[in-house]
Amino acid sequence: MFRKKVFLAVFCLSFVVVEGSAQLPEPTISPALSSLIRGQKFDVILPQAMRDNDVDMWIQVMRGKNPLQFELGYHDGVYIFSDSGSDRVERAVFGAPGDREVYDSFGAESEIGQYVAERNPDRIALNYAADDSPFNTISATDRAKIIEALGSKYGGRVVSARKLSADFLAGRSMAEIALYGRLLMTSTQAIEREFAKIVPGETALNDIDGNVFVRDLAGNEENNTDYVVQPGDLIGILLDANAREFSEHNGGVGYVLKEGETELPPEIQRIWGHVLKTRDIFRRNIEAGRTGAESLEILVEKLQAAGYVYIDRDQFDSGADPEKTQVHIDFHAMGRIASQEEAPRISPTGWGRDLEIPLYHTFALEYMIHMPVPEWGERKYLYLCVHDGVMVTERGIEFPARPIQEIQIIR
Amino acid sequence: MRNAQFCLPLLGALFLSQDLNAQAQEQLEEQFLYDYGDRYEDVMANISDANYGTFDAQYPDDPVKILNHVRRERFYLVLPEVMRDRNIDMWIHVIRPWAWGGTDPMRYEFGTKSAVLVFTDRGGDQIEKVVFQGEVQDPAAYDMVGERYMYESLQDYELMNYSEANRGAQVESELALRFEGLGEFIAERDPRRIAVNYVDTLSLAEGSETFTMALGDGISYTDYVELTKALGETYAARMISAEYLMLDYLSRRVASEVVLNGARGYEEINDRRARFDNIVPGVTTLGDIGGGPATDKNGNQFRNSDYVIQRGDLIGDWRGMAYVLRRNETGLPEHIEKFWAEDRRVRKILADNIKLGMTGGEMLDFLAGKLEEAGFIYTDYQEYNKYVSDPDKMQVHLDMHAEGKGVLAPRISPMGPRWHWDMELQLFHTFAVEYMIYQRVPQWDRANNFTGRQLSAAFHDGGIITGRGMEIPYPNQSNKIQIIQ
Repeated sequence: MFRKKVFLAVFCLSFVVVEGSAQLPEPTISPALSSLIRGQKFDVILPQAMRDNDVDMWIQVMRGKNPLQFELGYHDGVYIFSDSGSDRVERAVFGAPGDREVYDSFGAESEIGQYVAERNPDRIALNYAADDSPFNTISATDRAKIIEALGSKYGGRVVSARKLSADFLAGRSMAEIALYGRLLMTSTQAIEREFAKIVPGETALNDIDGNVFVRDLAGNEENNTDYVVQPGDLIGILLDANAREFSEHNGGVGYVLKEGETELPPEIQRIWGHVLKTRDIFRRNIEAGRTGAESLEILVEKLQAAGYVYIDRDQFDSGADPEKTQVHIDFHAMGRIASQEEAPRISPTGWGRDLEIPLYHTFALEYMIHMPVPEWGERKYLYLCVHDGVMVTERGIEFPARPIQEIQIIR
Repeated sequence: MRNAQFCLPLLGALFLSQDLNAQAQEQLEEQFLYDYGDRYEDVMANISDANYGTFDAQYPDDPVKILNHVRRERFYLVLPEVMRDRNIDMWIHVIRPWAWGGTDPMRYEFGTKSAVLVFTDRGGDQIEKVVFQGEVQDPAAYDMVGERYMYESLQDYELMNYSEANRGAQVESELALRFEGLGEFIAERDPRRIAVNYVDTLSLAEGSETFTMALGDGISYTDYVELTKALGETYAARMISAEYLMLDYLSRRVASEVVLNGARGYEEINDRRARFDNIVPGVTTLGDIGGGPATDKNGNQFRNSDYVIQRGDLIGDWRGMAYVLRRNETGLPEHIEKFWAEDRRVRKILADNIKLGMTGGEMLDFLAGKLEEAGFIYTDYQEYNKYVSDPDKMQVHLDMHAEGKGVLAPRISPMGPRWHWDMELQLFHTFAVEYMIYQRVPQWDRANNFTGRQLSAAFHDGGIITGRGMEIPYPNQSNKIQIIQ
């Protein structure tokens, strides 16, 4: 029995080590790094976000889980930010301890009324939202308490902090950019490992980690099912990488060679050409400062000028020009989990379409190409989804980590 | 006995696991093999102290692939910008062969240790990138690799190819072979201004400050002569030095370089805590904690590794500082408290005022002015000066040189060659927040016959310049003074 135990211990240990070598760990966010990101966001993002929203004071009441915990702090309490017009926004915490490296003052919740009156703000953002939103986090009781503490003069100046919260989260400090790039590298490596696992005729989509999909020439999709990968398949894999409240996911594409093929067939090379051509259009035409909706309008125009058909759903439009390749766009935010939905979005859908894209915003360059292949028959087309992590800078779109660079060949 | 029985197999397992670990490592290495430039070190050799240097064991991607990506991004974003800024139609860069890249400052940028490279602005958004002769680490980054060269670009193979094509002929110069056909290639493109990597005025060696090898311009005299012959009279007359173009290219950064620079945030930041955690006053030596210095309660400074740390000592360096409390002390003594508060003010002045749009020298003057306005004395020297007009003011020295990829870049400092100061601070300029502060401590000075006894510290953290000003890419090493009970 003892021998068996030892054997098992040895056996398991070996696996742990081999597994440990093959799989790279996700990055650890040390307390020093958390504190740095928090401080940098207060220093370089918050003043602009408050001014853009014409807010003099932001009151965030935190009780339990809250999408802003990483940025503000994990303790229940009332966090107040005041813009007095200088370069720096004053930061205070009431009824809770907080990171002394980044907060200026601490007090009891009973002191809030006096604190606010001393600063005499014209517009006070509070963490409620009229519509359904993850930023609608204040309870009715807390809201009533805050309004009472503010008194009738300042209680009447309260507005929703929803857009301010979204803008604050959408701004990225350079330390967040470094983390984002590192996460992108992690998932790129993982995707390459998953492609290496595929054995045509044996591997099913649900044997592969991630969001795995194959579409046939008529657009019917197999997604994480027991469909077994076949020669001629164009396979997409999306995989994420995470570090606490930060996350991203990106994608890869593989083609399974058919018998007799030694390289990508011309049709697959052609669709890859469209990936590169459209990527260039996106890189050169996205700028910080525009809303998602405005950006989409410009991109649609540029795509059409380049001979593409823009489609607002990820579905082949059989009524469109049969010679033209169709492109769908959904450039959503990435990096901070809480702001993947409530953030600027260059897309036909989503609340964030009307939000302005801030400088250094990080998002997914996610687009789908539907390329007709008339020689294969009417309404037959190839489908490919690209999903790379990008960042908008003064120069346009940049890739903090390597994007998809080719279609992986699976033999 | 039962324990021993259990230990032995575990020990065996450990060895086995280490072996498996090594095998897995080999597999990983095999996976990352390329025909040329298979190792990051191949094109970065000898500039290691000044390069990214951030690829720790946990790095999530293959360094060669990462650096190839950086190169492509730089070709896409930076190359057209710098060539057009300098009104250059063609950039020819020659790296001398058989020297393993030698002192060439661009070998990583172009991914080669030996080549004749031609970059041509033919209109449009991009620059045509051609490896006329030679091998490169990442051929896909170029539009042409060797297609227009008549021999095989592999050192001795060129000679063999030549001999085969010219039976009985004697090669005059193997070096000259590398330029055969280049004249035609250039004439087809008909450039008006051709930048070539010879240096007219700049002291690149002085400005590179690497610990292992000073960088030069990369081209040899022989290559320059051969290039001139190959270009012919018309185009040779259009050659100008690429020295400023090279600096422009080197000093600009892309987002993927911001990511690499930030990698230091993932090193074991708690190291500095651990370094001081086990100090026992009267027992632990400076050698035990990896060096000093230590400043004792009377202002005497010790650097010898066998110095035994005492109560009242302020210990540490740019990697972090600690203070050992004296009996009955509960916090920092007043002079250290004040010293530290002043340091925080210095740091805030730097963070609030460093921005794009100035040269390194202009920024130095600007910061010196801001420091003086705030009651500090700026000094060009890295030492305390007891003869200043007001010796009670803190003295501050700045040496904020570039970091991440060599120092052929703007420098906010009185150190280095003049052209370091004349270079403009560019978007995503990554630099060392390196400065020294000196504060007279009157009681020490009095006790030492006014010989200038003072408290000093040096800092070396990270900074980056964005459109928003100065930002911090990874945690500072010197945020606070750790208190040792």
